[in-house]
Amino acid sequence: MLPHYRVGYLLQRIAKDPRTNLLDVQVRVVGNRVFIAGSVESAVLRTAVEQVVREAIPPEMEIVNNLWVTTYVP
Amino acid sequence: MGNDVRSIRVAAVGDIHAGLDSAAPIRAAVEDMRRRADLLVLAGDFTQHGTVEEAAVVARELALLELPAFAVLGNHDYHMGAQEGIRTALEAAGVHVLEGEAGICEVNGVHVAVAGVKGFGSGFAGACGTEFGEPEMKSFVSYSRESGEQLARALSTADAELHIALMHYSPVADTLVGERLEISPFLGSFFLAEAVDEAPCDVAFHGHAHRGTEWGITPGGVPVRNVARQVLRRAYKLYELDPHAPAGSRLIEC
Repeated sequence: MLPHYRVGYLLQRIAKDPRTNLLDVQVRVVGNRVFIAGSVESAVLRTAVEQVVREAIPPEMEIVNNLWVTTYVP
Repeated sequence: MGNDVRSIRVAAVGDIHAGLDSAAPIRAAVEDMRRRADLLVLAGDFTQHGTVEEAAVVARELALLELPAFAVLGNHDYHMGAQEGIRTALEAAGVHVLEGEAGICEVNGVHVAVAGVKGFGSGFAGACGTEFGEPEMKSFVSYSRESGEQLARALSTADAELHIALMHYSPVADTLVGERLEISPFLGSFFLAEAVDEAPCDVAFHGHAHRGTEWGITPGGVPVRNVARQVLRRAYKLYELDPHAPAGSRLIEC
Protein backbone atom coordinates (compact mmCIF):
# COMPACT_ATOMS: atom_id res chain seq x y z
CA MET A 1 0.00 0.00 0.00
CA LEU A 2 1.37 3.45 -0.87
CA PRO A 3 2.10 5.63 2.19
CA HIS A 4 -0.33 8.26 0.88
CA TYR A 5 -3.23 5.82 1.02
CA ARG A 6 -2.05 4.16 4.22
CA VAL A 7 -2.53 7.48 6.06
CA GLY A 8 -6.12 7.72 4.84
CA TYR A 9 -6.77 4.09 5.69
CA LEU A 10 -5.44 4.52 9.22
CA LEU A 11 -7.46 7.69 9.80
CA GLN A 12 -10.59 5.80 8.77
CA ARG A 13 -9.75 2.96 11.16
CA ILE A 14 -9.09 5.34 14.08
CA ALA A 15 -12.40 7.11 13.42
CA LYS A 16 -14.50 3.96 13.05
CA ASP A 17 -12.97 1.61 15.62
CA PRO A 18 -15.22 1.57 18.71
CA ARG A 19 -12.18 1.63 20.97
CA THR A 20 -11.19 5.07 19.64
CA ASN A 21 -13.79 6.97 17.50
CA LEU A 22 -11.30 9.82 17.15
CA LEU A 23 -11.43 12.26 14.23
CA ASP A 24 -8.52 14.59 14.97
CA VAL A 25 -5.50 12.35 15.39
CA GLN A 26 -2.62 13.18 13.04
CA VAL A 27 -0.96 10.34 11.17
CA ARG A 28 2.15 10.43 8.98
CA VAL A 29 3.96 7.57 7.29
CA VAL A 30 7.65 8.04 6.65
CA GLY A 31 9.41 5.01 5.27
CA ASN A 32 8.77 2.15 7.61
CA ARG A 33 7.53 4.32 10.48
CA VAL A 34 4.03 5.47 11.37
CA PHE A 35 3.96 8.67 13.40
CA ILE A 36 0.88 9.40 15.49
CA ALA A 37 0.38 12.84 17.01
CA GLY A 38 -2.25 15.02 18.66
CA SER A 39 -3.98 15.10 22.00
CA VAL A 40 -6.29 12.64 23.67
CA GLU A 41 -7.99 12.84 27.01
CA SER A 42 -6.89 9.61 28.64
CA ALA A 43 -4.03 7.16 28.72
CA VAL A 44 -6.57 4.46 27.78
CA LEU A 45 -7.36 6.26 24.52
CA ARG A 46 -3.67 6.81 23.83
CA THR A 47 -3.03 3.08 24.14
CA ALA A 48 -6.14 2.24 22.14
CA VAL A 49 -5.05 4.39 19.19
CA GLU A 50 -1.68 2.64 19.10
CA GLN A 51 -3.41 -0.75 19.27
CA VAL A 52 -5.77 0.11 16.39
CA VAL A 53 -2.82 1.25 14.26
CA ARG A 54 -0.76 -1.81 15.23
CA GLU A 55 -3.52 -4.12 14.03
CA ALA A 56 -3.79 -2.28 10.71
CA ILE A 57 -0.14 -2.22 9.58
CA PRO A 58 2.38 -4.90 8.61
CA PRO A 59 4.36 -6.26 11.57
CA GLU A 60 7.63 -4.91 10.25
CA MET A 61 6.43 -1.28 10.46
CA GLU A 62 7.31 0.75 13.55
CA ILE A 63 4.92 3.02 15.45
CA VAL A 64 6.05 6.31 16.96
CA ASN A 65 3.28 7.34 19.33
CA ASN A 66 3.55 11.05 20.07
CA LEU A 67 0.02 11.45 21.39
CA TRP A 68 -0.14 13.47 24.58
CA VAL A 69 -2.77 13.16 27.27
CA THR A 70 -4.54 16.47 27.95
CA THR A 71 -6.70 17.46 30.88
CA TYR A 72 -8.83 20.60 30.88
CA VAL A 73 -9.00 22.62 34.07
CA PRO A 74 -11.37 25.50 34.84
CA MET B 1 -35.17 46.66 33.11
CA GLY B 2 -33.15 49.09 35.16
CA ASN B 3 -29.82 50.48 34.16
CA ASP B 4 -28.15 48.93 37.17
CA VAL B 5 -28.43 45.39 35.72
CA ARG B 6 -24.94 43.98 35.46
CA SER B 7 -23.73 41.94 32.50
CA ILE B 8 -24.93 38.39 32.01
CA ARG B 9 -22.19 35.80 32.48
CA VAL B 10 -22.38 32.88 30.04
CA ALA B 11 -20.18 29.81 30.53
CA ALA B 12 -19.61 28.06 27.22
CA VAL B 13 -17.88 24.87 26.15
CA GLY B 14 -18.22 22.12 23.56
CA ASP B 15 -16.62 18.80 22.70
CA ILE B 16 -16.33 17.38 26.20
CA HIS B 17 -16.06 13.88 24.68
CA ALA B 18 -16.64 12.22 28.04
CA GLY B 19 -15.48 8.71 28.75
CA LEU B 20 -16.62 6.55 31.62
CA ASP B 21 -13.76 7.95 33.75
CA SER B 22 -14.42 11.65 33.08
CA ALA B 23 -16.50 12.51 36.16
CA ALA B 24 -13.82 14.20 38.28
CA PRO B 25 -12.67 16.91 35.83
CA ILE B 26 -16.28 17.64 34.84
CA ARG B 27 -17.23 17.99 38.51
CA ALA B 28 -14.38 20.48 39.04
CA ALA B 29 -15.59 22.55 36.10
CA VAL B 30 -19.20 22.49 37.31
CA GLU B 31 -18.17 23.65 40.78
CA ASP B 32 -16.21 26.51 39.25
CA MET B 33 -19.09 27.53 36.96
CA ARG B 34 -21.54 27.66 39.84
CA ARG B 35 -19.46 30.42 41.42
CA ARG B 36 -18.80 32.43 38.29
CA ALA B 37 -21.59 32.02 35.71
CA ASP B 38 -25.28 32.83 35.31
CA LEU B 39 -25.99 30.18 32.68
CA LEU B 40 -24.23 27.47 30.70
CA VAL B 41 -24.30 26.66 27.00
CA LEU B 42 -22.91 23.35 25.71
CA ALA B 43 -22.01 23.01 22.04
CA GLY B 44 -22.34 19.26 21.56
CA ASP B 45 -20.17 16.12 21.47
CA PHE B 46 -20.83 15.18 25.07
CA THR B 47 -19.66 11.64 24.32
CA GLN B 48 -16.67 10.06 22.67
CA HIS B 49 -18.34 6.93 21.35
CA GLY B 50 -21.99 8.02 21.30
CA THR B 51 -23.21 5.94 24.21
CA VAL B 52 -25.87 6.75 26.78
CA GLU B 53 -23.44 5.57 29.50
CA GLU B 54 -20.95 8.28 28.57
CA ALA B 55 -23.72 10.91 28.50
CA ALA B 56 -24.83 9.75 31.95
CA VAL B 57 -21.33 10.55 33.31
CA VAL B 58 -21.76 14.15 32.14
CA ALA B 59 -25.41 14.35 33.19
CA ARG B 60 -24.71 13.25 36.75
CA GLU B 61 -22.27 16.13 37.20
CA LEU B 62 -24.44 18.71 35.40
CA ALA B 63 -27.33 17.81 37.71
CA LEU B 64 -25.36 19.62 40.44
CA LEU B 65 -24.93 22.83 38.41
CA GLU B 66 -28.00 24.71 39.72
CA LEU B 67 -27.87 27.16 36.78
CA PRO B 68 -29.89 27.27 33.55
CA ALA B 69 -28.14 25.02 31.04
CA PHE B 70 -28.78 24.73 27.31
CA ALA B 71 -27.21 22.28 24.89
CA VAL B 72 -27.13 20.93 21.39
CA LEU B 73 -25.87 17.46 20.49
CA GLY B 74 -22.90 16.82 18.24
CA ASN B 75 -21.95 14.30 15.58
CA HIS B 76 -20.30 11.95 18.11
CA ASP B 77 -23.58 11.87 20.04
CA TYR B 78 -25.32 10.47 16.93
CA HIS B 79 -22.66 7.84 16.11
CA MET B 80 -24.32 4.85 17.82
CA GLY B 81 -27.89 5.89 17.02
CA ALA B 82 -28.47 6.61 20.72
CA GLN B 83 -29.06 10.34 20.40
CA GLU B 84 -32.53 10.17 21.92
CA GLY B 85 -31.21 8.30 24.95
CA ILE B 86 -28.40 10.83 25.29
CA ARG B 87 -30.90 13.66 25.06
CA THR B 88 -33.08 12.03 27.72
CA ALA B 89 -30.12 11.58 30.08
CA LEU B 90 -29.16 15.24 29.77
CA GLU B 91 -32.72 16.51 30.14
CA ALA B 92 -33.17 14.42 33.26
CA ALA B 93 -30.24 16.39 34.69
CA GLY B 94 -31.99 19.68 33.95
CA VAL B 95 -30.22 20.50 30.68
CA HIS B 96 -32.50 21.95 27.99
CA VAL B 97 -31.44 20.13 24.81
CA LEU B 98 -32.28 22.20 21.74
CA GLU B 99 -32.85 21.09 18.16
CA GLY B 100 -34.64 23.79 16.18
CA GLU B 101 -36.07 25.52 19.21
CA ALA B 102 -35.21 28.16 21.78
CA GLY B 103 -35.17 28.12 25.54
CA ILE B 104 -35.46 31.26 27.63
CA CYS B 105 -34.14 31.93 31.11
CA GLU B 106 -34.27 35.03 33.25
CA VAL B 107 -31.13 36.43 34.87
CA ASN B 108 -31.56 39.47 37.13
CA GLY B 109 -34.68 40.55 35.26
CA VAL B 110 -33.14 40.08 31.80
CA HIS B 111 -34.63 37.42 29.52
CA VAL B 112 -31.93 35.46 27.67
CA ALA B 113 -32.96 33.25 24.76
CA VAL B 114 -30.74 30.40 23.60
CA ALA B 115 -31.72 29.01 20.19
CA GLY B 116 -29.97 25.83 19.13
CA VAL B 117 -29.46 23.33 16.35
CA LYS B 118 -26.75 20.74 15.84
CA GLY B 119 -26.36 22.00 12.31
CA PHE B 120 -24.45 20.17 9.61
CA GLY B 121 -21.84 20.64 6.91
CA SER B 122 -22.03 21.66 3.25
CA GLY B 123 -19.47 24.47 3.28
CA PHE B 124 -19.44 28.22 2.93
CA ALA B 125 -20.79 30.70 0.42
CA GLY B 126 -18.88 30.50 -2.84
CA ALA B 127 -17.51 27.02 -2.15
CA CYS B 128 -20.35 24.91 -0.91
CA GLY B 129 -22.33 21.85 -1.80
CA THR B 130 -25.61 22.27 -3.65
CA GLU B 131 -28.89 20.37 -3.74
CA PHE B 132 -28.05 18.76 -7.04
CA GLY B 133 -27.17 15.34 -8.33
CA GLU B 134 -27.51 12.10 -6.45
CA PRO B 135 -30.15 11.69 -3.73
CA GLU B 136 -27.35 11.37 -1.15
CA MET B 137 -25.88 14.74 -2.15
CA LYS B 138 -29.24 16.49 -2.20
CA SER B 139 -30.09 14.97 1.17
CA PHE B 140 -26.78 16.16 2.64
CA VAL B 141 -27.25 19.77 1.58
CA SER B 142 -31.00 20.01 2.19
CA TYR B 143 -30.53 18.71 5.75
CA SER B 144 -28.03 21.52 6.32
CA ARG B 145 -30.32 24.16 4.78
CA GLU B 146 -33.29 23.03 6.86
CA SER B 147 -31.15 23.17 9.98
CA GLY B 148 -30.35 26.81 9.24
CA GLU B 149 -34.01 27.56 8.63
CA GLN B 150 -34.96 26.02 11.97
CA LEU B 151 -32.31 28.10 13.74
CA ALA B 152 -33.57 31.31 12.09
CA ARG B 153 -37.14 30.55 13.15
CA ALA B 154 -36.10 29.76 16.71
CA LEU B 155 -34.08 33.00 17.03
CA SER B 156 -36.79 35.15 15.41
CA THR B 157 -39.63 33.90 17.59
CA ALA B 158 -37.80 34.02 20.94
CA ASP B 159 -39.08 36.96 22.95
CA ALA B 160 -36.07 38.08 24.96
CA GLU B 161 -33.66 40.98 25.48
CA LEU B 162 -30.59 38.88 24.63
CA HIS B 163 -30.28 36.17 21.99
CA ILE B 164 -27.64 33.43 21.83
CA ALA B 165 -27.28 31.02 18.90
CA LEU B 166 -25.88 27.62 19.82
CA MET B 167 -24.76 24.96 17.35
CA HIS B 168 -22.24 22.18 17.01
CA TYR B 169 -21.16 22.89 13.42
CA SER B 170 -19.62 26.22 12.52
CA PRO B 171 -21.50 29.04 10.79
CA VAL B 172 -18.33 30.67 9.45
CA ALA B 173 -14.95 29.71 8.02
CA ASP B 174 -13.11 32.15 10.36
CA THR B 175 -13.25 29.80 13.33
CA LEU B 176 -11.94 26.90 11.25
CA VAL B 177 -8.51 28.46 10.68
CA GLY B 178 -6.08 25.77 11.72
CA GLU B 179 -8.13 22.94 10.28
CA ARG B 180 -7.24 21.61 6.84
CA LEU B 181 -9.10 23.58 4.19
CA GLU B 182 -10.19 20.42 2.38
CA ILE B 183 -12.51 19.43 5.24
CA SER B 184 -14.26 22.79 5.60
CA PRO B 185 -17.49 21.47 4.04
CA PHE B 186 -17.63 18.87 6.80
CA LEU B 187 -17.14 21.39 9.59
CA GLY B 188 -19.92 23.87 8.97
CA SER B 189 -22.27 25.68 6.71
CA PHE B 190 -23.11 29.21 5.63
CA PHE B 191 -26.80 28.37 6.15
CA LEU B 192 -26.10 28.71 9.88
CA ALA B 193 -24.53 32.16 9.48
CA GLU B 194 -27.45 33.25 7.31
CA ALA B 195 -29.81 32.26 10.13
CA VAL B 196 -27.78 34.19 12.69
CA ASP B 197 -27.68 37.29 10.46
CA GLU B 198 -31.41 37.20 9.60
CA ALA B 199 -32.60 37.10 13.19
CA PRO B 200 -31.80 38.92 16.43
CA CYS B 201 -28.55 37.43 17.70
CA ASP B 202 -25.89 38.77 20.06
CA VAL B 203 -23.38 35.92 19.84
CA ALA B 204 -23.10 32.50 18.21
CA PHE B 205 -21.28 29.62 19.88
CA HIS B 206 -20.20 26.39 18.21
CA GLY B 207 -17.83 23.46 18.64
CA HIS B 208 -16.75 20.57 16.38
CA ALA B 209 -13.58 22.11 14.93
CA HIS B 210 -10.94 21.01 17.45
CA ARG B 211 -8.03 22.52 15.55
CA GLY B 212 -9.83 25.75 14.74
CA THR B 213 -9.71 29.23 16.19
CA GLU B 214 -11.83 30.84 18.89
CA TRP B 215 -12.76 34.16 17.23
CA GLY B 216 -14.91 34.71 14.18
CA ILE B 217 -17.65 36.96 12.84
CA THR B 218 -20.60 36.44 10.51
CA PRO B 219 -20.96 38.47 7.29
CA GLY B 220 -23.63 40.49 9.16
CA GLY B 221 -21.27 41.30 12.05
CA VAL B 222 -22.42 38.85 14.74
CA PRO B 223 -19.52 37.57 16.88
CA VAL B 224 -18.90 33.84 16.57
CA ARG B 225 -16.93 31.85 19.16
CA ASN B 226 -15.56 28.35 18.69
CA VAL B 227 -15.82 26.95 22.21
CA ALA B 228 -14.53 23.42 21.58
CA ARG B 229 -12.45 22.52 24.64
CA GLN B 230 -9.51 21.73 22.42
CA VAL B 231 -9.59 25.32 21.12
CA LEU B 232 -10.21 27.00 24.49
CA ARG B 233 -7.57 24.75 26.14
CA ARG B 234 -9.50 24.94 29.36
CA ALA B 235 -12.58 23.30 30.87
CA TYR B 236 -14.84 26.18 29.77
CA LYS B 237 -14.74 29.93 29.11
CA LEU B 238 -16.80 32.74 30.55
CA TYR B 239 -18.32 35.34 28.22
CA GLU B 240 -20.30 38.39 29.25
CA LEU B 241 -23.25 40.00 27.50
CA ASP B 242 -24.20 43.60 28.32
CA PRO B 243 -27.97 44.01 27.87
CA HIS B 244 -27.62 47.82 27.84
CA ALA B 245 -25.15 47.98 24.96
CA PRO B 246 -26.47 48.59 21.43
CA ALA B 247 -27.27 45.54 19.31
CA GLY B 248 -24.07 44.30 17.70
CA SER B 249 -21.89 45.34 20.65
CA ARG B 250 -23.24 43.29 23.52
CA LEU B 251 -20.50 40.67 23.80
CA ILE B 252 -17.79 41.62 26.29
CA GLU B 253 -14.62 39.56 25.93
CA CYS B 254 -13.32 38.12 29.19
